[in-house]
Amino acid sequence: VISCNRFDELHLASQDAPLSGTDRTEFEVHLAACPACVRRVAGYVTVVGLLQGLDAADKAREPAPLPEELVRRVLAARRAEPGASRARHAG
Amino acid sequence: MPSPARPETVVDVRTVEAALIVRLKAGEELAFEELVRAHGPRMLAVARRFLPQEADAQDAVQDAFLNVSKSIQGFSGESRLSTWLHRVVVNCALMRIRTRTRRHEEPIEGATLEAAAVPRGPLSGLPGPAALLAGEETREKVRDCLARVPEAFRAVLLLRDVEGMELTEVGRLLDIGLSTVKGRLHRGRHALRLLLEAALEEPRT
Repeated sequence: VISCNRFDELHLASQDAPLSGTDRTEFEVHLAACPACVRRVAGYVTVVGLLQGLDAADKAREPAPLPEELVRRVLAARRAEPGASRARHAG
Repeated sequence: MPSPARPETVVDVRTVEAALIVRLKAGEELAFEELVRAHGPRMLAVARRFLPQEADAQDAVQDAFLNVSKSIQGFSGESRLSTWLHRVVVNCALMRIRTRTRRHEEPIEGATLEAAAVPRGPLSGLPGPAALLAGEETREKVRDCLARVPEAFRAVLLLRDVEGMELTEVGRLLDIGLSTVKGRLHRGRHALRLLLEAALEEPRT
């Protein structure tokens, strides 16, 4: 039976590509036998779900406008850049 | 008869974007200001996730726009402008994190606060993420918890679990090895879990 640390390694690996062969068997055997790892993985699933859910919720909303001071600072910094002399106002 | 709005809207967005890019490439200052005002708010929101200190996040946004100004000539238009800007501001935020993390490598890698604690598990008794995040109050709590995760761990969490990058790509962007990426991801998830458990199990009366 693999250790919980080895289980974590396999759990991470399984998120980049499906496990196969011995790795998959060892992962499944450990998962069935270790309630602590089951709880930990379930907790991570919830954490990742909350992060992704927050991202989706933020993308669905129109963010507040940029602080005007930041807009001015960005525009001034760009004007101060070498080569900014090409910049021109639209007619 | 009005025609169906959706396809036209998509075409309009692409057309407006293409026109803006032409003006940006021509060096038109007003076009640059339009870009800042239109895309800056989302870029600042992204930067704030990586850099909760407002001054740092704003500096990253400024860096991003200066990079965009310098490299707009090379923008091919194959990806959406918003996708490109997202990547640029993430890179600028990571640049700041990389610099700071190198200076404080030991304390961050040696952090034991999260690793030593044992999850109590109340997260498993809560509703699913969608239901939890329906309220702004909970979303704010999740943001606060994320902001309290140590910076180097938070960056890995965001790149992996939100941006969906492979671990090797995360390592390349942060200039750290794969085993360090895995360690930070593990610790970051664990830390965030503990923080969320504490925040979300508070009496919701």
